[in-house]
Amino acid sequence: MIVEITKTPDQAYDTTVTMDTLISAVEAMKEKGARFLTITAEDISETNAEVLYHFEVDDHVENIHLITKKDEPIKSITGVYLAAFIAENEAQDLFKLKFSDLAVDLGGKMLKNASSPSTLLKPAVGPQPPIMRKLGPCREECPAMVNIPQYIREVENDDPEAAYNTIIDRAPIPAILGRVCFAPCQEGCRQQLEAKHIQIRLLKRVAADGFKEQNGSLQREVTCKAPSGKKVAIVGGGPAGVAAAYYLGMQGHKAVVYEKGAMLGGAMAWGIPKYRLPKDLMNEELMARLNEVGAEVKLETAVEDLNTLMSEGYDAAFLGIGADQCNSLRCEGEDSEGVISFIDFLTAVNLRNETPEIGSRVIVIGGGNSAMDAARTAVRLGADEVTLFYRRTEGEMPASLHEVHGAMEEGVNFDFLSSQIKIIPGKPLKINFQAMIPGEPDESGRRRPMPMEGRGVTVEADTIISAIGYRGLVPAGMGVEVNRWGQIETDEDLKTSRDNVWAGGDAVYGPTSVIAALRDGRIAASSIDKYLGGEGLSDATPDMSEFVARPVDKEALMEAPQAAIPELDPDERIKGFDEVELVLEKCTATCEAGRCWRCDWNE
Amino acid sequence: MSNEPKLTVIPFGPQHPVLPEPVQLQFYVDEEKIVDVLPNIGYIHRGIERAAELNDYRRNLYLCERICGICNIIHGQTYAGLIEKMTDTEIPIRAKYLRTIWAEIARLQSHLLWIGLFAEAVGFESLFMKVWRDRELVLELTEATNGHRIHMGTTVIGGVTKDMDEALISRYQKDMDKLKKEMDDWAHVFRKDPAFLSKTVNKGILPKKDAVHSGAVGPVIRASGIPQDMRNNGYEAYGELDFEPVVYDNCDVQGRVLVRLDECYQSVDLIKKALNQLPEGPIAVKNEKFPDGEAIYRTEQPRGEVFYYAKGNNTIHLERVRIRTPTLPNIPPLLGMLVGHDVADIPAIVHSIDPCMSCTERITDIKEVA
Repeated sequence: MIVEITKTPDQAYDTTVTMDTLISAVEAMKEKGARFLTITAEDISETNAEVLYHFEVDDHVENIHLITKKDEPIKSITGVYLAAFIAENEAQDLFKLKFSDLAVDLGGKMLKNASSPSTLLKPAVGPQPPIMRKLGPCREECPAMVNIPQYIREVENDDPEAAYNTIIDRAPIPAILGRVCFAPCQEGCRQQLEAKHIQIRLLKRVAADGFKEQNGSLQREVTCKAPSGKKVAIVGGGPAGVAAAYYLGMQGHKAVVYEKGAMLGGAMAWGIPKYRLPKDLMNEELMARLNEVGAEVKLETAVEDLNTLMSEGYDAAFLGIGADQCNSLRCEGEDSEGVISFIDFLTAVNLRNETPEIGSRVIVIGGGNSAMDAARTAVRLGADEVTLFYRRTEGEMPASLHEVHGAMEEGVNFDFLSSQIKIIPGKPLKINFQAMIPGEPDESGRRRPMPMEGRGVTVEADTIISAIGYRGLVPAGMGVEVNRWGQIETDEDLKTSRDNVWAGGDAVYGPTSVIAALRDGRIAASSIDKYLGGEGLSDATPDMSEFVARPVDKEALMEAPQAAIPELDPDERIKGFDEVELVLEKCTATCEAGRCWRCDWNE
Repeated sequence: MSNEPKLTVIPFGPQHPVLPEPVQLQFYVDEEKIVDVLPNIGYIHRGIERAAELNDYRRNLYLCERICGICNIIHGQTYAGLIEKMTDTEIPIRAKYLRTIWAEIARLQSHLLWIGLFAEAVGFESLFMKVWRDRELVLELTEATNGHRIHMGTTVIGGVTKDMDEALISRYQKDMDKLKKEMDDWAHVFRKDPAFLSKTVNKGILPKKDAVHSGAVGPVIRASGIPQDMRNNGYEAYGELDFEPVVYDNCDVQGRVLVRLDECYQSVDLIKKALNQLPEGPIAVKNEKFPDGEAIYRTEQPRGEVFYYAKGNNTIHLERVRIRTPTLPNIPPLLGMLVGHDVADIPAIVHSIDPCMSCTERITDIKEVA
């Protein structure tokens, strides 16, 4: 009745296998529809062990018998019967056998003893290695996901080269970012709870300037992947285009950058004043990245028709054409002489080194960072009285607080809740403003300004600069789909409606930021690389196990003061276009980096 | 701007109110959905396999009865059966019937325990109390048999130590009828109550194909439509009792509930049938040989198939004893069942395999401790 086999010592096993035939014997069992029962291991001598695999076939047990050397790894059968992983781990624990290719290998630590961790989640006893958190909160805030905690540590260890390389891994222009980035990371910093965030942007500049001092130039030696023979056209030499060209070059593709202006940099070149970003430094860093990977640059070459360009033998294209169309003032008389857009104004000053005749009284209309740039540039050009008019309240200005303070320090006057309604041509110009009052919230969550009937003011000015935003204009020759705001439609990988064309930066999202454009360049480069047969860029976090955790005394860190941003004196800076911000002293930078909580390490 | 879902890890156990047994499951959840499960076992090991090699083989019987509190009767019977097979001992027919009756008593009290605990785990507390009240009938029968509510301790190699007299037999018969009536009082809740069904139907799916491949046993595999029941092999008196294993093809938690519920009724019937057919005769024979050679013996515990392997060398000691209790092979299927369900379904699904960790992990390297 009982169908289990019983074996006397002199009988042979049903199936005796060697290591080579083990897997095929187990596969034959599976063919028969056998159910895995368990594994019995036993020491039979000092060096040899016996392993019995038990299976149920129909209603009786069949065994596979294996004799093996103890130090020789046994092939795991978890590839055939996954459920065997518990029995194999048990045998590893009890008989010190080794199983190779075990699907879930607990490394001989399945059975717990006094020194076992209470959970696999974190080690409970003994010295604990630093375990990486997914991301620090600063890194989560960064659009390009720069490994901020790591480069802060590298700055603290006085290793600017390592820090520079860490930043380039995600955002290829650290020296520029160290000067102009909006630094959303600083909003995420946990020290920001005490309004004392780490000066992350300044530390980036410390890394870049330190590297330049050490190395002599910003150009590094890099190892690109073997040339793939593929060519990619990059339309637009702004941050998105340069980032895409750099990462594509690193993946072994030939990138050719077409820039319609006389200088690389896109909106960074025309839009960011020289007192924030010296143009020679910007050009040096952009060219350094492109030269490192052997990318070609064609300046003053506007691309109107993508098909013509693609027919020159390109395998893919990236459109980083930016946005440079100024929004209109939508008021009567805006075409009058003396009314200029901030784009024309800043381009003349920044790119062409001109000194436009602006007279002594200048009015800037708008509340964003570009309005601040225009106002502060006007101050430097010698205007006696610069007034900025904004139709909402002070707190609702989209400009960063730091910029607003800078403008106030330099003597820019502010007039809020004033909306332009009419410009009367003449010398001087006259402009009517309507007084506004905050009304119901609009879709942006800000209160919509409503006119206060009968209240208004007329102001005289020599020049009126409009700075109420800008947008992109995609040439029809690109042949890509655009949405109703004139932005290029893309999917998650930034691929456009055309098969081999990607796009990124302001052309896709409207005016955003340099760091967002760099993110787009990297995402597009990764996607293009996959399209061209590569593996894409790795998103893996580098192994940080070599770092030794220093105990962090958070109380002391909370007490430590925040480093102040070193700046030129306001009286000095309005005299010319010298850089306003200065680099941190080395010891200040080390102290500032030492304030980091190291949120990315498991505590 | 990573597109990866942000997973949260929820550690479940080793100490957890839902499951008073030390096992840790780490749930990787995306919002409420379980994406992955990592088991972490090995918290309680008592070195029983190794101790069984050091003991006199006859004393191992009492060791094996202590592997699991709930299944103590069947563990003892399985070890005795293994040694009887290795020593060619044929036990008397009355002993076989008595063993069968007591094995079914064990199954009844274990299933009733589980049904009550499961009712509580899905929020039916008064139902839990009702089921456990009726379980008292079975525990009192166990006590009347040999003086202990849980540990029967009636098995010996070669037979049983205790006989049943007429008074005890009629009490068994009367209480089985009573139990059946009491079960009718609440069984319909498990079959029909919409609140209960909403927590069990289509939860913890284990398809038929996966059930065999992942090595599931007991009610878990039978609820996936496979009539795998060791009692089919007809050990002890099962061959003479003419029964069909309970099989459902729901493949979900509800299927496992129904299998156990129907098996309670089946056990009552089997006990009554065996009592009616109980043959006269001796209850034990003397076992005269030392175990030699190798043997495998499997029986059906409440939680499923238990597997015993022993290697003897014709001495008083065994060379190797291997015990695999039914919860261990049910852990890999459990991991698959959980993926894709909500966090709120965890208690019902984990309970549905009736985990008994303490009998699963009895394994350690005594040499290292010494």
